[in-house]
Amino acid sequence: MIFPQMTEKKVLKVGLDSAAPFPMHSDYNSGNFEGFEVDLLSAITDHLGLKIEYQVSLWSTILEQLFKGELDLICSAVTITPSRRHILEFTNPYLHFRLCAVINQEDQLKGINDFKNKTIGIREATEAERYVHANFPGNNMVHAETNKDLYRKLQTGKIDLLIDDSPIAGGFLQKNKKLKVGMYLPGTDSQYAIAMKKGDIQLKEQFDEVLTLLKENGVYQTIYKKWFNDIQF
Amino acid sequence: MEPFNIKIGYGAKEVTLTILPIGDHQYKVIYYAAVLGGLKYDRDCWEAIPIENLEAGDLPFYQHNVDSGNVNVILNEATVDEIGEEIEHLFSAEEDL
Repeated sequence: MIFPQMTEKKVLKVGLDSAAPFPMHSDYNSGNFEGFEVDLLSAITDHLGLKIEYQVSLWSTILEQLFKGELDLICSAVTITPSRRHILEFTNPYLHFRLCAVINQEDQLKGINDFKNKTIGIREATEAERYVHANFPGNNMVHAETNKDLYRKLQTGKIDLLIDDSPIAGGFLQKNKKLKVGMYLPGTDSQYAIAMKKGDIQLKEQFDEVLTLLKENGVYQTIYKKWFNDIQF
Repeated sequence: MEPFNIKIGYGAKEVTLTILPIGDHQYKVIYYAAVLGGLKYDRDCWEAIPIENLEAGDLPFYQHNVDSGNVNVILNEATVDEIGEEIEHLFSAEEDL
């Protein structure tokens, strides 16, 4: 007699930002959920024999959900920062990038000095917001809750430029040829990593091992080329 | 300076807060991975920093949800004083504040 497989895969509850940071991932409810992080997480969890259950949350509450253990991890363009590192666990980084300034095609940015008197758009509670407050405190700032809203403000002339993570800016610019990257901001080297509950060392170490393996066996590079072939960081 | 955790009594409960130094004797108070508010040490006393004078930065502002089960911590004068005392306990030298 053959018994059915009794072992069930462990399910990981994975948090996604409701303001989808494409090409990291698209809107989960769009019917075409895809992106770099979707492929990468799938490769990692396949290797570990884990199942994924996605949950979409507002950025304003997603970290709290992870902090309280209502999510197992967040894989949604989370930048490692010192304050986040203090309250969350992070895997090794899976993507290195910079912040960049996005402007309209007809405009020019030659350097940081050109930011003077400009109205700068930023998304709330992001590293870009922290950077602008620290480096351009005298500038007029416009805050947006979502990237979609932020880019719309630039297109409609409500802001002169916006600051965003370069991979996400690259994703927006692929679809909008009226905008361009004006410059990459010096001293803003950053990394995305998977955020986990503080103290979840076992899961972090498992993920780190597989991330290393995927870089060694070329799977990571294949996924990278698929999503970032035409995007500059 | 690195962030650090403190515990304070709030009503009958105890809550853990993360204190994030932001320079110039000012600190952000982090609660459930979000910015609850801020406080500063000025003229030998602790004062709350109005939320509108704080930037969330790389963490969101805390929004209390009654269904969350979280203690609804409000940074009133007594709480600010208690947090300040806890911070002082962690620094033996006044110049560290």
